[in-house]
Amino acid sequence: MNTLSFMPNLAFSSKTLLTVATVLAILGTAAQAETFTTSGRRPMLEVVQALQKEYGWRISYEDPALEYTGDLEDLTSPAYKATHTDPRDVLLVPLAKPFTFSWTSSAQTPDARSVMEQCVAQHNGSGNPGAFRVYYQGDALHVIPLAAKNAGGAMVPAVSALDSIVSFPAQQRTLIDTISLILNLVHRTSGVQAVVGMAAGNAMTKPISIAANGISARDALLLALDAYQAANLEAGLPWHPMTWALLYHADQKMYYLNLFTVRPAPPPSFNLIFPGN
Amino acid sequence: MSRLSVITRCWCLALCLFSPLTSHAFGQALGCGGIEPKVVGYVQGTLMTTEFTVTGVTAPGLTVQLANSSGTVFDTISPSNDGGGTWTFSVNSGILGLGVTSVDAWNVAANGALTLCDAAFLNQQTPSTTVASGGCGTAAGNWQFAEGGVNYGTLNLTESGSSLGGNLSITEPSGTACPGTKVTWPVMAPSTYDISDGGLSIKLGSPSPSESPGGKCVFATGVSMTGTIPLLSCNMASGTLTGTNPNPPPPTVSSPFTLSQNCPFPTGETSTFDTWESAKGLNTEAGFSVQLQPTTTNFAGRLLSEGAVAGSIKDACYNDIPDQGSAVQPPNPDSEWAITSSDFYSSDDMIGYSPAAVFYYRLQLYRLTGGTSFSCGFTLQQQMHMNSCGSATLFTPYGGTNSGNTNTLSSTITSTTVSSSRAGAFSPTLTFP
Repeated sequence: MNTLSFMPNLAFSSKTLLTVATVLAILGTAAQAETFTTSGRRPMLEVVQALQKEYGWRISYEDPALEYTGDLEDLTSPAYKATHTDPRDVLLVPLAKPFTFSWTSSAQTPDARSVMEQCVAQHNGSGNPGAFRVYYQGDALHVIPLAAKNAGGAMVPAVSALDSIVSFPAQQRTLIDTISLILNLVHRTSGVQAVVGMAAGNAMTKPISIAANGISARDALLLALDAYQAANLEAGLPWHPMTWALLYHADQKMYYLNLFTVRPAPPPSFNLIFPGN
Repeated sequence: MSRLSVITRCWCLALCLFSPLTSHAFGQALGCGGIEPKVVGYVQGTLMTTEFTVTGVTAPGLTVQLANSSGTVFDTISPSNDGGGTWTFSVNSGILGLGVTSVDAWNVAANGALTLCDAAFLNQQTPSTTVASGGCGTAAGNWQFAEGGVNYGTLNLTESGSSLGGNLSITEPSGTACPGTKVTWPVMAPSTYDISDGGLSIKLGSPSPSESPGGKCVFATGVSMTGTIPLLSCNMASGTLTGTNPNPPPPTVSSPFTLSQNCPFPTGETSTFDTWESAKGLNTEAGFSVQLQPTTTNFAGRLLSEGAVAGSIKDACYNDIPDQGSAVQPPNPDSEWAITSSDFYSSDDMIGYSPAAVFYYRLQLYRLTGGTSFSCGFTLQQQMHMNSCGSATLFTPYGGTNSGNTNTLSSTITSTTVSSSRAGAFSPTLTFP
């Protein structure tokens, strides 16, 4: 929908984000129910990325480390297994069923925290793998693992790789070198391995300078991404914050850090031109 | 039924479904509300003080560090605790150097441990040479009128003293209810520009015509625009526009707008493979050198932004692992460049999968298919935009197919090699590792 065409801005424009309830007039205000149905193996990530795209919210996502066989699906081909007999040499991916998230909002642009809390609460009751919590740092929202089933199938508290405490001195490094340093320190302190999966190479090679002194890897990562944006700001470029999806690959028992720029959502429809009668 | 009861009903439903473990989420510290304002611009030599507010603080203490672009902390501030999780402090531009200063607010736990609450950014820049005392010298001229980063028409302003005249002309774009419709509003009194502070106040008269042929669209009346031409840039302005729909509801609408002065844009660009970016630790990404056309026009200092055309990203490697099971996400081009004095991008445009992604897909797709060799890759349509002169927020597409406006980018992984292309320019095939 072009922004010059007037429309009530109460519904998502995405085909997959559907308005399911009409406006409820309640005490002079309007509450709106929205839904989003997932189709993939990481329902929480799917809804995070849909909300990010629709509203320009800065939301990071971190996978729980899934170990329970009932939470995983083995996609290894029989042909491969015939020649690779090591039981660890398999392709394991999360096993999730489609889930419909729903949330309510009374504003044209919903409150990010309220919506994320609703979605996380629904996921945690959905029966899909892992449970999450929401953590705020200003306009940055983080969806962090809260619990997951262990190998025996018992739900136990989860610790995110990015909760590791890291320290390093201020020095000019490229963004990818800084992030790799943080991930190496995570490996050193927690034994958890993580590497950069997808990231825009053009951004990754820009120099930044930050220090970390006994802070979480998540804080250090946020500082690094903000330092890159600060350098852009200094060059006259607009502020477009970055965020991440830290995804666990069960058979390798390691994480892949995927980095994204968050683009602002289009402004609410207005205009000088309206549909005629 | 009250709104509260609707929300409560929703939460109750969710809580009923929780296991005892997962419901603990509601008892956990949720973090920190954040700093406002987030980004502040300062003009060198103009003393300004910014009052910051940090809200939603649950830690017993808060400390604020000011760090320069070298990552050096040059000042630490103890903010005032206003109660209710709100802390306040101020920063005077007189203590800042040129460039961006990070204002990092840290939660201080009872044991002294620090966790990041939020960061704000102060940007001290040298003033524009065209700045008059206070505001810009004039608002007169032809301005591109835009909303949401899209140009819709022209605001022509004439100036007599502080009074403004002229007109706003808009063409409704394709894909809307009445594409191609042209409408003009006259600028009427009282419309003013205040040179002392850059304040812009514009009233528009009745639209001409008042509706499109056939009455498919009607045009707003009672339109007013308020905004400023900022000190740092005299060829851009921004503000808020309000107008009335003659056929309510809704009776009125409002929206942010931007204005920018006309300036040249490239007609296209040329791409040439430069190098594999092994020196930067991204051995599998091909760097392409790009020059804007025509080279007879000087675009030095202008800014470029890239994006992907909606729906154009096709990543076969990602899609080969069914149902979004891949731990490596599809590419999402989203970078920015400045333009050099010879009209080149300030650095190569790097295209390809990261080394870790190459290893990942080779291993997982072997397991998935059981084959002994494979090939997969991505293609996408890259859309380049250039900023309007003096504007850091208004970007406009330029060029033609494979020449800025929708460049085809691709990268391919095989069992032993990687290769990439940009807008018809191809890298050599690299054996990796």
